[in-house]
Amino acid sequence: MTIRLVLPVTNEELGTARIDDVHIAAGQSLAPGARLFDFTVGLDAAAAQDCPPVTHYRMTLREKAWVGRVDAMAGQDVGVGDVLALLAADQGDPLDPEGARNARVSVAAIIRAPDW
Amino acid sequence: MPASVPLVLGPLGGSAVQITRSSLRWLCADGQRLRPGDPIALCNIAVRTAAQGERFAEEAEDLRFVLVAAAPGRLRQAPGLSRGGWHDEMRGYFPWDADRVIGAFEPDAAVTDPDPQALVARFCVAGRRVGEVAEDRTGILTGWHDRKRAWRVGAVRPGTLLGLGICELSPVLRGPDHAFLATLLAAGGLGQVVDVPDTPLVPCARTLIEQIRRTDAERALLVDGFRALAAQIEPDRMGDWIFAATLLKALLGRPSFERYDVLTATGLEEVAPDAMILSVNADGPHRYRHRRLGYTLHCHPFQRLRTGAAFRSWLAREFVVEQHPVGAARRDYAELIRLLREQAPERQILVLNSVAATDREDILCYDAYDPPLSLALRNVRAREMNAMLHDLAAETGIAIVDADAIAADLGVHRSIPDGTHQSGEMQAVLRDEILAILRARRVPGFGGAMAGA
Repeated sequence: MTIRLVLPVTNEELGTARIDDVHIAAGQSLAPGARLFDFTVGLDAAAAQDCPPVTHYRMTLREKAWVGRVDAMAGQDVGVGDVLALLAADQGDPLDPEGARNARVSVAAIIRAPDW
Repeated sequence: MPASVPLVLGPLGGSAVQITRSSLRWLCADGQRLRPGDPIALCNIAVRTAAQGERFAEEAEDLRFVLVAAAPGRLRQAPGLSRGGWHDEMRGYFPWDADRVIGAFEPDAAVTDPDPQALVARFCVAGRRVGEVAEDRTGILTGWHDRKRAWRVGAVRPGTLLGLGICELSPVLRGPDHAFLATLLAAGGLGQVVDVPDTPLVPCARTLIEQIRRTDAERALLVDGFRALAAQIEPDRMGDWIFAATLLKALLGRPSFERYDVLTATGLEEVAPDAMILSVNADGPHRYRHRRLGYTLHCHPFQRLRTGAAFRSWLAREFVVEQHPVGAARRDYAELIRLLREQAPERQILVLNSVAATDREDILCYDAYDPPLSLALRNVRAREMNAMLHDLAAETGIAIVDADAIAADLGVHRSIPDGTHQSGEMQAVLRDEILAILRARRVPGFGGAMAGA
């Protein structure tokens, strides 16, 4: 079984997200609770505005899986529903994007250290 | 049909001051239907006194008198009051004439107030410009000010609420007219609201403490540091020069203990805050501390990140980023409250809490987050900060404005989707809550007895 990791809905009014950190690599085994991606949703980049609403999120996995392929990289802009990675339910499962289901993930607003 | 009432400018300043004004600038059309809170007209005013010392220092250019409808009805404008153009700007053209009729008010209902002049509320607004070149008289209280305020003009001095918050508090106090008028009208008494904006310096508790305690010697060292920065800023980064200068001005300020000149119907007085409201969101999880001098510098990231290479390398060289745990925020708040009460024991202190309610979070496992969770997860921090405020309120008697509960009641996704920027509806409910707390605590001008009344 192939599992699709897609960018979940967080704040749809704010459009695309920027990938900040990628915590996974191809071939890696993932346990429930594993970190997947950190991303930022906000009006700071898409449409610059004073006091922009900016929220940083971390997506974690709620099931066991193996990383087959990672499509998103740090710094990339992605939209809701875009595929970020393909996982396999069992080690050695061939990747089949057509028959894939969405991954069971959890998303939480995180605190990031400020950029200089 | 209720009778129309001739309205006059009304008394201002008494005999101890000489007031002149511009011609009136109408803010409504002749005969326009008015609701309570709708601005009617304004004029710029100048104040001269025989006594030594400048009054309305740094506010003289943006000092105005504003008439606002206090009852539903229509105003038929008296002719000739507005000359338009510069005559509506020049504040030295006309002597103040309390009996000058400005028009006839046609109230929707019969007048029951023994003083029919109460159909219209009279306010003064004042803005302290960041710099003298920051002129903008296009609106009631427009312009780049490092302090904006408004007060209702009456027989006695107004009670004063000072706001030292960030973007989820300032607009709540300023209200939909951006000039505090609806807020003060809803307060009902003779109140004053003062707002010190969070641009460029975010008023976290530690910054407020340092402003109170800063010695002249420390100020001199701080100025030296900014002088060195100014020498490094690129010539084509004029915005960074301005940012640095305003930052320095804010750091050298002491907004918690400022006093304000106010005109009443009968005189000119100096007042201090009777209440003060802060926002716990100003105490974020990180802050910048100067490596050598030790002072705190807390700016909004969006402003810091817009500065050029020289400014940002100065920041990186001179400052260290520190985490700001909830316990440290609690210690800062306790110290700030103690300092404030030492100098102003009667002052009420209100703190707007953090919105922790959320509709999109579903954490099943906390292993993915490094402890302490209050420095890793936004909503955990918000909840812990709110719990900290409850402990502090029990110990010190401060009041909490429960933005978290209000957001949950209204619906987080609809009212405050990013946890900070509220809808107008939520701002209105927060405003009512703040006024209710002030009333319950009998703050003068907001439900409490007026001083000297």
